Amino acid sequence: MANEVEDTLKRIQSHKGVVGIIVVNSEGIPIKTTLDNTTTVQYAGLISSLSDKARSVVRDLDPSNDLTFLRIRSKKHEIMVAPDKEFILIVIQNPTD
Amino acid sequence: MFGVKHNECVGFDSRWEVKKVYYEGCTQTPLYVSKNATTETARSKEIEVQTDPMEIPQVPAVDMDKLAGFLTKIYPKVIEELDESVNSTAFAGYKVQNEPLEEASKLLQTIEVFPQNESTETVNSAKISSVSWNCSARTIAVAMSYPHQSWCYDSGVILVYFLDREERIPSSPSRKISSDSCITNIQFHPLMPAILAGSAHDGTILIWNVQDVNNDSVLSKISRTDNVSCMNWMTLDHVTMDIVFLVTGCLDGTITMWRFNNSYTCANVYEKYKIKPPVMSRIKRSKSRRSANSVEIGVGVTCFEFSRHLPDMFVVGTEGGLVIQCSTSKPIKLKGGTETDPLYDPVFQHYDPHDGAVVNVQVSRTRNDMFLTTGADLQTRIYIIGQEEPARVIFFNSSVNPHYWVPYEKHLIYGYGMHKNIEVYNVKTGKIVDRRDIAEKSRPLFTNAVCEINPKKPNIVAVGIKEGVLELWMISWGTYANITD
Repeated sequence: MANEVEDTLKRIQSHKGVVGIIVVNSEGIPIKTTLDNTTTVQYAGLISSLSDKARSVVRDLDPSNDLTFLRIRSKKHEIMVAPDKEFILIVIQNPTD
Repeated sequence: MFGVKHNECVGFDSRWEVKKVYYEGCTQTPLYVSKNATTETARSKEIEVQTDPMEIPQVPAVDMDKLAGFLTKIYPKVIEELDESVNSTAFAGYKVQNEPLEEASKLLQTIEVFPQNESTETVNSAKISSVSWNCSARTIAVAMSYPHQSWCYDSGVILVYFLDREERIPSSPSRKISSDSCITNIQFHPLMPAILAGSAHDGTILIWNVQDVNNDSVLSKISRTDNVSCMNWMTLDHVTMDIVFLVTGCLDGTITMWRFNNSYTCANVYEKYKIKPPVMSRIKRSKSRRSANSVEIGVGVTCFEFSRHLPDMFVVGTEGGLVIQCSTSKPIKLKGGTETDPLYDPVFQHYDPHDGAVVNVQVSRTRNDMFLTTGADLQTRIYIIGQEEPARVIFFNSSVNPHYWVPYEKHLIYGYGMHKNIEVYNVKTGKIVDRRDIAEKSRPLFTNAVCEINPKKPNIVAVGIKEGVLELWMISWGTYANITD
């Protein structure tokens, strides 16, 4: 199973423009990353709290609804967040490359 | 022999028996109690202390099955979104409204930094030689030195400022560190905020603990005969930052990597490199110079920097203007080293040299194949790795201030200009980005300044001007980046 995880991450990483991938557990702790330590910790902490906030916004607006995907576009990057019950997948993409 | 003395006889009555009188008495002595107890003269207690606590890496338990299931489930959706993002033209030509250019750079603070308790003449000749932020970005150190022709008889001074709550530099230094000779370079440790390395004019390398206010705070002192011209901390692995070396460059052409113990009280040579004088025919010199063979090319190291992308690669600038790409991975062993301290030649490739000493070298923060050099020939050059000719040459009228890459921007460099402001240049066009207020400024001033970006807040720049002025600038780099688009 570990190989399957690594293969999937490699496939995403090899996609055009992908700068890095981080998988965060439900406690906000990074468990898989392709970035350096400092960047990973920063992204994991900030994006997981943003994801929680976005999910609560969606649920407050409609209790029967849920957050499935979050895309944040900045001047330099596009951050894609795929939240789940136990994990959050964060993909940082550089669309200009 | 015969005397006349006569003794008179005394008689007594004879008795049959005499009754004696007896008195009997008994005495009770106090009760004596004895108790046996063992006594230990010295109490001993055994306590075991482990000096270096074992760091058990906290690896969160991961259910790989669940993770694999999650990734398998989410993979198609992620790829779909990535494709959509790459192919989307929704944001093509879209620009965020910028803040006004007038507010892009702001001088926050100016401090006149002079060593205290010095004579006026001495103070006037004092120069700022180096500025360094520590890794917590709350402390800034300023090294002062005096101009010398040959020997240095002055005492060096380092002023350490702890930023206040409003993140401003206090008017008086929080600490003053003295040394036997002028300090030419200082660099804070990249991980330990209290460790400061410095090199003195007499060639000594010193390590201080700036938090230690009781002692003279010198942790270690390495005496050398060579003049240390540049120094920096480096690590072979920028991700884990496991082992941090202090690297020093000397005017004798050597570059030494020092490895310290955990307490930074002892240093050993890890690797030592020597820049060999190049074969003349391999080095192109500009036509303005005399014949290349008649020019002595100095290989004294004036500046160097290790690549953050490729830790085994570093670029060296020399006093003869040479720009050399070096490698630590496969250096050639040289004669002159010892069995314990071998000497290596790290030269990998020569680049088109400057017509003067190289003042500064900096590898691009965003691209692993680009670096810049600033030379005393009033040129700043942009080089591409593997390409001998510079990709861009920017000419300056008089300033030899070093230039640096703008954080997170591929095509912008900055430096302190002659109009007492920070100038940003676009390396694509080779022109200054913002020239609008030059006319309003006073006439150009010839000044030398070193810039140091705050490691935690890249928009804060400390500028140490040689005349003894420390400036704190806030620069909105993004505004400049958008102008160039």
